[in-house]
Amino acid sequence: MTIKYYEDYDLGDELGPLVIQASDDQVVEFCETWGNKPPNRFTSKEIATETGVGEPIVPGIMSMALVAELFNECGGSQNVMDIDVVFRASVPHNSPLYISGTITDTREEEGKYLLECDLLMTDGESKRYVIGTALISLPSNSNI
Amino acid sequence: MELKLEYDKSLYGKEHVAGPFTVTEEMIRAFAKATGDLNPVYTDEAQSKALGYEKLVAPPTMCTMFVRQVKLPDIKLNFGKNRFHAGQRVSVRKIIEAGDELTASSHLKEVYPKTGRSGTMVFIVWETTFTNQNGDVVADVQESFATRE
Repeated sequence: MTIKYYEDYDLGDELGPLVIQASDDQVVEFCETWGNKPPNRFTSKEIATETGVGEPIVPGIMSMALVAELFNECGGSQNVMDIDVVFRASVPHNSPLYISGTITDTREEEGKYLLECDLLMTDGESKRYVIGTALISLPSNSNI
Repeated sequence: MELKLEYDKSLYGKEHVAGPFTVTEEMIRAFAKATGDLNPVYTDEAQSKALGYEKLVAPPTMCTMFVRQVKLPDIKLNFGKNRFHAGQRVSVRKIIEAGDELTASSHLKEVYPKTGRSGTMVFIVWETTFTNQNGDVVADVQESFATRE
């Protein structure tokens, strides 16, 4: 993974889009890791229908993890200090998910070099699945 | 007309604790694989060490998996039939690594109504603080659930 520095970014810079999908198998694997054993409303059409969701959807906590992957282009999502998301619509399985961000602030605070960012996950067109904000901390090349 | 919310306000100030949960390498790798995250700090200990970490690092949102292990009481809200996960926030205080033992402590943070184009919803917000085996706070997680009629 390439090391990225605070100075590599400026206000208004765009991140992504990262285009990914959550397959049926990935959601099953995620639920097993999470301890929410399948079948459940995230993995079974029958249970999803019974619970009023309609189709199996990607769990919110998995959607948040997918959004955080955007920061792998900024040296790694382990640099995330704060991520705050709102689930605007159910995230479907097996469909392209477009994740993008815009840098809205850059600042140095208590020795940390911080980027603030608006986040968006869409279907690539007008449907917004997840919106949010994040704060990431990057190394500064002034410290090299 | 003003919405008169009734719920169990005695829950404010009460902590609901669960854990400890051991963060294993297998768990970190499984989380990364299921989310398709190719970041090597989650899967390759050598690369993680090369970047200055001592062990495999847990993805920043991974601790959210443990939140549901906390048994939260029904707040007995007098509003809404349908409840859904409306949002989530993770504030990382310290990197979580393989081998860490996390304890979760959750409390009711707030309950509030909001009216928009689709009508009124009531939001229930729970906040969970994760502490590691050394007593260090490693993350705060806020989960919001919305309910509507």
